[in-house]
Amino acid sequence: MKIRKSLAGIAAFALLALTLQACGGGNNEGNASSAPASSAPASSESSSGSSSGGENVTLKVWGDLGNQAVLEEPFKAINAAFEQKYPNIKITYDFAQNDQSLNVALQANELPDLFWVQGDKTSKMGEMVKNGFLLDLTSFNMDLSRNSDPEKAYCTVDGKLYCSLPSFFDTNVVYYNKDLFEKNGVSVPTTWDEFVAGLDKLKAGGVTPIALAGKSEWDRAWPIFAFAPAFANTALQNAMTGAGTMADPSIAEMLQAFRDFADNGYFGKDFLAQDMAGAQFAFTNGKAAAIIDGTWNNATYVSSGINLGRFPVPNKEGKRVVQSSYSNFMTYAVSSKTEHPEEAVKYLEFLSSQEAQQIMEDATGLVPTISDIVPKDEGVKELAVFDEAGLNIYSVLTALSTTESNAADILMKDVIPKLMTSAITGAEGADILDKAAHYPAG
Amino acid sequence: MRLRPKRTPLSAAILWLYSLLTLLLLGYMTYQALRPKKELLSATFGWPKHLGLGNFRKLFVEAGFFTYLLNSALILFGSLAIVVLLSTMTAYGIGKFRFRFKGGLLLYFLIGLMFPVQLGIVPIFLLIRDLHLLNTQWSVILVLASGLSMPVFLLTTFFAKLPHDLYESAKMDGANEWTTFVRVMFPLASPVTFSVCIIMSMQIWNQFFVPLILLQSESRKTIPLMIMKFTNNVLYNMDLALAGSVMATVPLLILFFFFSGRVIEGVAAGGVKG
Amino acid sequence: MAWIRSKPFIWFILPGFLLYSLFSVYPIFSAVQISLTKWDGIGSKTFVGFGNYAELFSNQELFRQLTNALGHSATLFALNALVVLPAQLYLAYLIYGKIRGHRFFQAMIFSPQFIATPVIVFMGTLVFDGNIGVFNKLLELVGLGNWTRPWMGLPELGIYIVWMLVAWSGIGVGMIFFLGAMKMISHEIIEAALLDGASYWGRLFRIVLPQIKTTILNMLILTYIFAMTIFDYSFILGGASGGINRSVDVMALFFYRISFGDNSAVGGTANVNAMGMGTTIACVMFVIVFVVALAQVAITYRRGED
Repeated sequence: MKIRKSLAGIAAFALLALTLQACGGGNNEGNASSAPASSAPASSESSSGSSSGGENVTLKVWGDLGNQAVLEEPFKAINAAFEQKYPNIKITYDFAQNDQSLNVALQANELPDLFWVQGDKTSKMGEMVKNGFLLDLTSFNMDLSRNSDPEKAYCTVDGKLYCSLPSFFDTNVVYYNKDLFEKNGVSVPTTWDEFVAGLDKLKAGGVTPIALAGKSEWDRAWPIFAFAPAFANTALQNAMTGAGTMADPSIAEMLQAFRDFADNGYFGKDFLAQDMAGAQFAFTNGKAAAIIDGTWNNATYVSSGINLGRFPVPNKEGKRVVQSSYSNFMTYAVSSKTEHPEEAVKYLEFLSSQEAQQIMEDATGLVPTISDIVPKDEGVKELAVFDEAGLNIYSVLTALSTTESNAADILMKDVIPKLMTSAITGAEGADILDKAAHYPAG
Repeated sequence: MRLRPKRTPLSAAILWLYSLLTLLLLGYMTYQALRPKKELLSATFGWPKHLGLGNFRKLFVEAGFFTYLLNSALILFGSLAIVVLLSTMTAYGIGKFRFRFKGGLLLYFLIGLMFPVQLGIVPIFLLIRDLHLLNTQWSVILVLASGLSMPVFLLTTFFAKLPHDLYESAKMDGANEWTTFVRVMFPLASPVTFSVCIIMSMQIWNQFFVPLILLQSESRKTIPLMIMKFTNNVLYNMDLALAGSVMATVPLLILFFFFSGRVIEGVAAGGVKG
Repeated sequence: MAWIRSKPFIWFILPGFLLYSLFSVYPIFSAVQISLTKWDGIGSKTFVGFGNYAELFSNQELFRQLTNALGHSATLFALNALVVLPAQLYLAYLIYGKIRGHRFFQAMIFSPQFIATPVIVFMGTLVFDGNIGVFNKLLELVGLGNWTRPWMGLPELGIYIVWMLVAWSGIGVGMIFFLGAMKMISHEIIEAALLDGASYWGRLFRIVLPQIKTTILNMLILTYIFAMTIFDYSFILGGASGGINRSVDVMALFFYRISFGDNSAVGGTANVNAMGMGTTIACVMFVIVFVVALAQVAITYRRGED
């Protein structure tokens, strides 16, 4: 009873506080002047205030907080180049976006002018489009002449364009310790059977063949990401168009291969309790001979100074089909609420240009998908050695997901842990995915 | 005090063991922070070939450690001052005076601890936006300083137990309520207030979620956000992650070690005399 | 005015009350209404009354996760109340008695509090990791190579690992409060006990503990609330899913998973109702905490009066 009384009091007080604030709202301007664009609403006010002369505009951009350490340098250079090109547009670029802050910004309807999106890789961008948070870019006629159809598809929801185009490639490769491979008489495998035989040799030699972070929801899935196109690229293609299903035998076989790796001790003992730092340390310290990881982590392994090599997982026929997905380092969308859509699109155009992409390449050494971007060094070229770019199983499952049933999440959080702990077989795992998937009519 | 026992060897041994373990952990972290990144990654165990302050130099010069330190310190002292002042006042008001609903009020002050922080973050965000405080240190100070639950709850007991005749005699001397509180009651409770200070300092210092949501520009971010930047991809930034962790921890500990005893004894002595 | 003057406590309570109400209580209660709606977090809300509560208790998977998480939270409380709390009293008493080196011990016992959680976990990797942890290296050196384990995340130890981390990093908090309480015991009482010739440990049980019993009861309430709302370590050790077989799942993590994580494996309407169901879980959690805290406060308060 006491509480209800207090609540009424609180509500009254809150109202009072807000009214007072609205009346005396001018007080804050003083400290805001020392730091331009200190908050979202203030930034638009201040920019419109100074727009009497030219078209001076400040754009607020949110970058990917999780990759701040990698992206800080290239985006500093990209933004400087952009501001030089468009002197009237000022970029306030903050590494302020992760899942939590994006959710708060969405629920509070306070998105910055531009922010980072993951295209068709997850269902998030589609949801934001559905709820009207993103600006449709179709009518702005951005220059897409350098880009291929899959790159456009990354940014497209229901036939409309929503983000700057990807120009780099993410895939998973086997990073290996050349010294350990040599010591145990293992060479780079050309077929799946050679690959497995090599792992057996390494195991017999007393090293952990492949370090796996069993505790990390994403990192423990990289072997599956790498195996899926090698085993079941056709099946994934068919499932995506509705011509086949996830219960395909090749998918079951692929999941079983992952379970066998765990059962046969290729991931070492106690890998279930290992986190990613632990797995990476095991590899860089020579306790594990290899690790399956993303191309984006290339720089980490290079900086450890070990005798590093890379190869894609070969399939039974000796073909190297790798999963391909686009890097989301440079894919940004515009908030539908922005007051400066023209200028915001200019920024997206710049991100989609060769000039900005080359800056990114020189800083990060990603694998470019467009031929006019010059690879940073030989290591980058080695990452791009494969016979065929296959499908990314997560993207396929995302495409087969509905709001009721997210098949991609079921793979990550249900199927993979159960395979690692030998609770289900590959065929059972494929059935679970089949039940979760919603196939297009076809 | 004459409380000291003649001998408690077992207890002493337990304390030594526990403390040395912690000390070893901190020492190990500091040692690793002195090694160059390459050695850290490929010879985590090996005998160190190079030891130096290179990682710390990088932390101060390239990573701008002082900005984060300054922001964290500002938020810490701002919030702490408000928490200590308001929580002692509130606890004094609830504990010392007789009125109805005392228990209810105390329980009301506990509610803040009973929900996950994430639940209320959107209303907090909107509130801060309407106050035009987004991306300012004040936003974090206000939100963190409003976390009065634990200090109020614990301090109330002590104010309730303070001898009432001290209060009476102060009133007899003609002191008003406020003077009585500041001159007599507040110093008396100082051992516990000090405990509150320490606990709240740590909570505020390590606070991660609220600054993440309310502070956006790099120039406003705090030390835990800086540490997260390096631990997100920990191997890539291991040199900075370690140096940053050491700088965020060890100086505070040394300060605490040298001042804790003096501060506690100082205020406690003053309090008992009062 | 006379009414106000007769109630001077209002001036002491009001500033704290207002700040706390505005920034701590109001946001929570303005969010609580979400539990009466069906909402995915970004689309539009649909009012469903108590439908979410009915679903939480009738959907088998949700209910299973609820009881599992609740069981773990309860385990944490039991361990904290039975092991950590007495340990905190013991340590506080040793330091209160100015055991040789007490300032050093105090700083060391309290030091884990100074370290940010991600760093603690990172340290855990450096020390306890199966491959590169020094602890395992030491085991190898003394010939116990078979015993090396990644100690930080053995699934079979599950919630006990969480508890160890909580205990290690949190033991200083209770200790320092008990220490503060002990320092407020008046010298007359202690000296009288010394004249009685009570032994060192006798004084603890006969004098010190009875003197600070309200503080102990208060800490017990706080321990309960913390155990029921704990989040960090479970999240870091097991991710949003709460570890393999949800072995480290707790109530706050269950709330977080349903609200912001994925819910596909749960079935029902959980996925399109993330925020609605998540808030419902937070409210159920609140009721569980509140009812017990209410009882504890009532008992403590009555005792405190006499």
